[in-house]
Amino acid sequence: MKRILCSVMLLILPALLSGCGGQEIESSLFVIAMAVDPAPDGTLTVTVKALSGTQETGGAGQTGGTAPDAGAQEQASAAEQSEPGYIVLSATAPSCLRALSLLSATTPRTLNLSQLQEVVLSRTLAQTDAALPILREIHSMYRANSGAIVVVTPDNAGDFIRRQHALLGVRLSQYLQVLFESLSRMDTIPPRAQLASVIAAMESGTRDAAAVYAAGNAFDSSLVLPGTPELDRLPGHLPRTSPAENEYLGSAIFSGGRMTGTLTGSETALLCLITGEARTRSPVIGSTQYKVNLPTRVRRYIGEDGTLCVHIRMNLTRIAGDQGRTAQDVAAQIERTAVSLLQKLQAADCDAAGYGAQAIRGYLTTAQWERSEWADAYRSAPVRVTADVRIL
Amino acid sequence: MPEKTADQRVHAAWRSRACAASFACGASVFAFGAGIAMPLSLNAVWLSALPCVPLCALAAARCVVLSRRIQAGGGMRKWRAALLAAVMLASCAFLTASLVSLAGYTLLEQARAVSCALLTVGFLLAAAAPRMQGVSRLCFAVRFVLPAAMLLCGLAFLPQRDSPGLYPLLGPGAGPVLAGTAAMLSCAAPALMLLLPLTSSRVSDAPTPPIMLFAGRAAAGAALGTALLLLYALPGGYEAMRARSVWGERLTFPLSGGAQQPLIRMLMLLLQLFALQLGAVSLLCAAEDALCLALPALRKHRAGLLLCAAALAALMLLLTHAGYTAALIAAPLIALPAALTLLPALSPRGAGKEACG
Repeated sequence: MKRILCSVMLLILPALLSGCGGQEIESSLFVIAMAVDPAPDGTLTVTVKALSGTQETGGAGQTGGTAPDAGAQEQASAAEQSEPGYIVLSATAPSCLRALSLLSATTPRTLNLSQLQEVVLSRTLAQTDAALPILREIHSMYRANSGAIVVVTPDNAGDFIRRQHALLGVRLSQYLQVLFESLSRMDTIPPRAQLASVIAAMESGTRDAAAVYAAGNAFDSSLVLPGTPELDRLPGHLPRTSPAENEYLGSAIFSGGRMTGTLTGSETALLCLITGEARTRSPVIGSTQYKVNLPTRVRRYIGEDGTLCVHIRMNLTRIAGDQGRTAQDVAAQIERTAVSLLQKLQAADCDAAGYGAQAIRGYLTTAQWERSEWADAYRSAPVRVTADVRIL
Repeated sequence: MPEKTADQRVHAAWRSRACAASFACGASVFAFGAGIAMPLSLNAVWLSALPCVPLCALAAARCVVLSRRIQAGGGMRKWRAALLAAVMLASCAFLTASLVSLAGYTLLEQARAVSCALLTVGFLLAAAAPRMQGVSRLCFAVRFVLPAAMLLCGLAFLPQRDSPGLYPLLGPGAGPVLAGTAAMLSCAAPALMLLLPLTSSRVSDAPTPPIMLFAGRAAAGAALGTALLLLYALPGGYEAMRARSVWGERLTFPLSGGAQQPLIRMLMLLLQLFALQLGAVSLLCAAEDALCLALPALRKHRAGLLLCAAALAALMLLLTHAGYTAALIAAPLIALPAALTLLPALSPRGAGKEACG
């Protein structure tokens, strides 16, 4: 018995070494949000918002010097204290890795991305082939938090995170966690927008990535635009006012490593439904709110003639709004909008629904799959959606 | 509680030894699969590992049969004992290298490679102090808990919907998958520790458990390693496997971005380290016993264990300077001396023992 206990103790002790390999908290710069923008001459500007460890506000700091480097022309710009407890830093360099290295070298602390909550890419950058290498560098070189949400914005990404404040509560990291969780529950952002998932989808040949789409609110009145539902829009144009300027709504869809389109909030909710990852229990269809009683059953498959098929079975209970619509009306609307969504994804060459994962089952080896030209088949495949809705 | 008879104690000792062999085989299957076979077979690495299950069972059965003949023939010859010690030490070195790579990639990423390697060898040496009997009893104590915990953690990494890593079923093709299997043949070498007799002279006449017990335990360990390789491959596609070029990275379970996964990943990491350590310590103790069979003078003051640990430390330092890729290249060659160790025992010479022991 003593020998067993002795062995157990000696074998468990190495696990405590996890503390030896780490760094002192005081010597780390914990980054909460990161933004990457394209800069002139093919360089990149990386902006980070990090914990400063103080509660004092301040103005802009001194201008940083130019790091002498024969081939790089790298610049570290000013550190900005924009709100209590946080500091914004930026650096420009030919690659994301070098910019992060420069930030590490010009601040008195080591960059630590373990608490990273969001990675914001400008739309211009996301539409190039540079997005995947940038995300890979952040993820593997600096061991960033794999659960950080990837966001694409049409604005300047650095300004986007400068505007980002903890509107409720004190901690920006907690605020962002709660924000993304609540948006995820409403299905207004894509389900697999985490850094690790986006990278895996970009590298995969069977599924494409969808990141969160966000923008600063450019509305200065509460004028309601007629016609489309409120969430069937892109961010930045919502008829609302709020201290939180940044709006997160919809998806940036990718084909491989390149962004090829956007989905509105309503389309994103439909994408969540089609992929079987809808989390909302109270969907609004038309002007009626329903409650989902039983788990919605969704089956995606590829027909024998290559048709992309979706079958949805839902059980709903009306909880608010008018009762003018029958189950058949609701089913027809779902079918119509789902077909429209899938055709939009096909046009953007984005297999966010994951039909590639179904198609690959018909091949024995990777060489056969890679020769199959699935991308062409996906683009031209007919679409069929059937919905079986019961309103109880 | 009534006192156990000598036969019961012998049976319990053999059962524990079988558990130790099982853990060592399972750890080897995973280490060989993730380290060597995965670049070849990609997402079909579990297919490459599947033949290792019957292989480990056959190796264990063969060892038990051969061990009985050797004991009936008067003891193990020195050449066989020395060869066995070398095979055990080589297998231990590979598991230790996997341990160091995994720890260096995760928990100890800031540490120097030399410190990491020597610290690991130090812990193995200390954990081997209770001898083979102590380690075997520990393996017996956790024989259900550890595998169950690892499988549950592995299941937690599975994506909720489709499993992109399962297809295409043959991965890069039959050729690379078979090449992966060939590279993994050495993972059955840990089963050779069943060749070693129990050290107490009082139990030499006691009956040994049936062969199926040993074969079953070895197969179960190998099956656990194979199951973990399958769970490892499921979350990501073959492209993700292809992108994993660092040995330590290949040993870690891939994240797919769920909020709870970092916590489960840390738990899985600790379980992996524990299982690898159990396997490495078992093999180190087996190497000591085999070396002492070849050179009985080394029994004094545990000189055999110290010598094995010193050799292990030297190997680790060599790998640190030469690069751990050398271990990945040399490890499949362990199968050759392991096969030689299983050569049939010759008929006993006269009435005397053939080997000291």
